[in-house]
Amino acid sequence: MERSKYSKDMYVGPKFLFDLNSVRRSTNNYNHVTFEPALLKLASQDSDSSSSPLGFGPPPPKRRRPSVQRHFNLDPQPTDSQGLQNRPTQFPIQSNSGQTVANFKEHTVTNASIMNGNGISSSTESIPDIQVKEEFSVPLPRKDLTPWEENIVRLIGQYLRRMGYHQTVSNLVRESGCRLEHVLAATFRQKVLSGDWPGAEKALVDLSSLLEDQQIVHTMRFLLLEQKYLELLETKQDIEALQCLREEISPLLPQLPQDTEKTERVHQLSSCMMCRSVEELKTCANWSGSKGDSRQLLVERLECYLPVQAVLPGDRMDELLRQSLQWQISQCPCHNMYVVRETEHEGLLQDHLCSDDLLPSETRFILKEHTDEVWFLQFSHDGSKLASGCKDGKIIIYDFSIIITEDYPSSSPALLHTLTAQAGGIGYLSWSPDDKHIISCGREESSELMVFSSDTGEIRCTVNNTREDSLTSCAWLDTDIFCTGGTKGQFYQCDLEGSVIEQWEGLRVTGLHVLKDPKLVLAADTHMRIRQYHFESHNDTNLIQESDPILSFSVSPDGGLALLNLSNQGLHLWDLEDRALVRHYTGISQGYYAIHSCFGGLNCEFLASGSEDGFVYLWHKSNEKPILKLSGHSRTVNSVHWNPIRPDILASSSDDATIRVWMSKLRQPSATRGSKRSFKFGSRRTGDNNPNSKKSTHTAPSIDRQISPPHDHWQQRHCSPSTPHTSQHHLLNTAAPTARLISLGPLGQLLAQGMLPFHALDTSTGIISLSAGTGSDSRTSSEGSTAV
Amino acid sequence: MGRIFLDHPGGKRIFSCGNCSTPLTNKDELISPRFTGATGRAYLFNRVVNLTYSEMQDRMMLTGRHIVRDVMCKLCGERLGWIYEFALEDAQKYKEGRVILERALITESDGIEEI
Repeated sequence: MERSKYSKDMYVGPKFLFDLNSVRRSTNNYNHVTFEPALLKLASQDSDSSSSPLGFGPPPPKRRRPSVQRHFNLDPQPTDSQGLQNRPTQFPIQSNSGQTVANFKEHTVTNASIMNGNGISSSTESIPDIQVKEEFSVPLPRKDLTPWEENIVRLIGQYLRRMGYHQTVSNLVRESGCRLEHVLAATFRQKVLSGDWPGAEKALVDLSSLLEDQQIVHTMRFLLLEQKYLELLETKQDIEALQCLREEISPLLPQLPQDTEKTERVHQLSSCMMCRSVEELKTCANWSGSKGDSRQLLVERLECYLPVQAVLPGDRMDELLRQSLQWQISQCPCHNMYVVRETEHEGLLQDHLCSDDLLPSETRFILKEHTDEVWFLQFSHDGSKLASGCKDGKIIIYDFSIIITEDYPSSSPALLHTLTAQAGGIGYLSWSPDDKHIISCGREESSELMVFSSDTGEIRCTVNNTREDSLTSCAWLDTDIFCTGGTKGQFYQCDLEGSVIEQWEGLRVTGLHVLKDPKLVLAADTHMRIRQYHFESHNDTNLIQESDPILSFSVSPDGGLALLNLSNQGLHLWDLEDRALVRHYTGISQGYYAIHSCFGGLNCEFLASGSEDGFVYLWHKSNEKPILKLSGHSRTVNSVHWNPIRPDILASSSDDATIRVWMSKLRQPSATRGSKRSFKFGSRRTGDNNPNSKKSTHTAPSIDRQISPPHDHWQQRHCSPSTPHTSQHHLLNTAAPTARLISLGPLGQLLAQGMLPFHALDTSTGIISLSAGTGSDSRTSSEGSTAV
Repeated sequence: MGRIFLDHPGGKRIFSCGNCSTPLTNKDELISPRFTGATGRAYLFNRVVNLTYSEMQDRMMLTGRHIVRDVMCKLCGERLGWIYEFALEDAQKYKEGRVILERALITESDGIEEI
């Protein structure tokens, strides 16, 4: 009964929480943490004398140290005294109002001794004696904190302590009345770290009152004993080790829930007995030794079993904030930053929001080498070349190898080759996976397919089966094998000699793509569907059935999504695995001409398509409305392609016989970058009156987009040391809004954001965490997100 | 002008543009071969693809007054027949939305077995 009350109390308030969390961060520290009666004396002196219990001892040797503790809430804390004096366990339950001076004194003593033992010091100079006296003699009334507030205070305390602001932490604990963690947990940790196994087991028994599932105690005890056994072996106390194994570990086995796993471990442990050297032992048991971090690891493993009310998970605040940032990024409508980490901190001060300036939104180059309508273009897989096909039957390969390495490419892409292919016009081009070859397909009446070597520009081979064939689309299965097809019923698999290896009959192919693993050919056909074909096994399956003719389609690099340009139906995104329509993107006009679209941008989160109205449209995958509508071309935009290497480079080809290379707006010459940047930043935030900004013309008016200060991460990564750098500007720029923004408000908001993913991921833990407050997410969840 | 997207009607017997061989429709879409156009025999089809349409015109036919559009091949622009937009006589309503292709302007060819 006492136990239940005890644990209930723990949930209600912070009074049993004790601050020794940081002990576990440094294994060296445990040496300082003693509960020896000898220290009691010193501590009791402290409590009586006028010297501050806050400060004694030399300055802290380590950054992370346990902070000063004082129990002002004055609940009787029997375990303190138990730990100190080995008194029999008792769990007196007493409300705050029931406190006595005696209790108070006892606790001051206890805590002071712990403080002292930890080698904690705080400067006495800063706190006048009288004030300290007052602080201790008159217990401050604790503020009434909601569980939410209390958990935030604990988080703040944990963070401050890690930063080494121990005096601040002690002030915080005093003012708020919140303990950072439970005294029992602190005692337990200290015992484990110091290798006091009997003490640790005793502390574990005390701790069991905090645990809902008493089975866990056995598991924890097993872990403890395992460590004890290994350490005994390490110190060559073989008899004691054997005794431990035989008398303590083995009898424990039947009480453990997962028997097989633990039994195996016991067998492993017993085999450790045979090890001749310590090194062998460590290898055998997969253990780092008592001098290694094994005790620290053990503590971490053990604390996973403790309720979060007793012990905060390590670096909880950072974890929450990181989750919050992740969430912010996931909410960013046009997240196209190349390096997130470098400006991660800015998301703490204001919500992360990428500017669409980071998207390829500005024409950087206009390539005018073609003399007729440019029907198709495609970047090579390494992003270093761009091939474009024209109505007059010419293919031009441009060199982008310099452009993709420069922040602000000054020279227009060089012309590598001009190839002459199908006279009726080039309808489709495809780079081989190794970028060494490029296939060119013509229009419906074209029966010939050509393969060029991209290095020399020579024809490698042609596929010309019969004059009745129509070969309008192609895709590479491998570096030397490809498939091709057309609407007259051809569907071939060919090799680089130009011979047809295999053919599939009965479909009129309008588009082809190859999924890499396993090698499946996706083919759109005239029945408004996409089917998958496996040439070796002759298996075919229906994947997608549309209700309108498919003009063209592309597949995301991971092979999971397909983007279809449909006649009169806009753009459809399909999940290939689930065979479900994911989204329908609006904005473009198409149906008359074969328009091509593509995936691209950071993590391929964006979509782009040409359109018959002469604009290039950009979408974020998650929103059906376009985020940008790029104007520049004067006639139909037939094809777009995103550079696979640079998420900020997009090329588009149009009937106006030009190719436009779009890049992000922020790529300014380095000399003017700083001033330009700050100018943009200021003006855009105050209502977008910047005359340089083409946003008003580019943006669909219905789209609500906030503009965040632009950050060009590409530049940050690639700037030479001599370049005046931008991160300074970032700091300066954000300084002003920062000062205004800092308050508890944003913090609460961040924390709230940080919690959201849990609700989304795991409803059960989410509900628990909501009811118990910020500090109580399930361990598994937090581990999971760390792994992310 | 872009690369004109051409649909394909499929089917085992395909009717194509006599000028550029663009596939237009197939035998399954044929409603009646007993019509007459400017060049003689004409076929009425249920659905024809790869066409462009002229402005609406009011025409007096043998079967009465109709509002029609001329249809042209999407690829080569050759006039091939017309589409009935609106029939003023109730008996002729079934022709609305259907397409007349003149036999002399189209060719017939075999299709493939499709899966």
